[in-house]
Amino acid sequence: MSAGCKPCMDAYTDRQKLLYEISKVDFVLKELNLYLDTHPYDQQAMVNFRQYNALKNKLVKDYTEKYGPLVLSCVDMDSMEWKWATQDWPWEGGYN
Amino acid sequence: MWNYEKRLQFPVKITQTNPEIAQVIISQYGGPDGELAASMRYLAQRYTMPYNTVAGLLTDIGTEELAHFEMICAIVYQLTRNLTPEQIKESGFDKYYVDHTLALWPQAAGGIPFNACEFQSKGDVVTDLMEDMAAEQKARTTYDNILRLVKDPDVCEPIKFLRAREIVHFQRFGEALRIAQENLDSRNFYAFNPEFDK
Repeated sequence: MSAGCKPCMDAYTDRQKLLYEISKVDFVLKELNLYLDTHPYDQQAMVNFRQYNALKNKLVKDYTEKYGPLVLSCVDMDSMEWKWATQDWPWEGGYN
Repeated sequence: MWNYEKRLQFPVKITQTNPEIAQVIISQYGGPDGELAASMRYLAQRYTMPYNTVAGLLTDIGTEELAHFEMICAIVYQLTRNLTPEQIKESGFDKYYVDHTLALWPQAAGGIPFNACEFQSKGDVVTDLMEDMAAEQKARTTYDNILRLVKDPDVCEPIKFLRAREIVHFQRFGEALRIAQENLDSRNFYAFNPEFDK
């Protein structure tokens, strides 16, 4: 998946698009995380971190409900199947 | 402690196998400037780092590097999936295959096994942060070298992402060095070692 290639995104499934959104938001969080480590009093960066963190939690919850767990702290409560283990692992490339 | 997120930091989806290039890229798993060495370097250095912000940076970059060697392993794995014995022989992958089949094992492109000597944990703030900045540049050079050899965009895109991260980490380690030096004697940064002399 090429970053920033909008037309190409049409070829991807809703699942891949949502995972891509999560990756983008998490990338922003990782950048803010490292930046804040060396600028721990930057108020604007902290505001941004809180906003993007809330957005990531929401997207991860949506993803889990629709497709399966990404993290063990947010698992599908109704399922009779332990999808964490039965679904593909990320290195398989199938849902990336 | 750590928690796992069941996704790669940047997607890896390779459609065309290429065992020749896999043998080159594996260096960024187990080679001298690879992601495994990077992660272990930072996570080892943090315990005696006297400044909380810098210990935090070592923890967070060391953690990101775990996600990077996962990406490198995914690339190598997907480049060598479902190879036939003929493809293994023709590509020169046979020398790796004989000991590891198609499993991942940390080694440099030249076959040298991963070794803790690949990284330093010296116990001196200035020394270790200089080491970390150099390490990020060495990894960036290695990615530049890889990009001259790889043409497949499925492989180039994740490699370009990883290359860009080396530059960001270099910047952050530079800031960490500045933080450390602000805490040291400005007339002589080497007057004492805050990781040892109290």
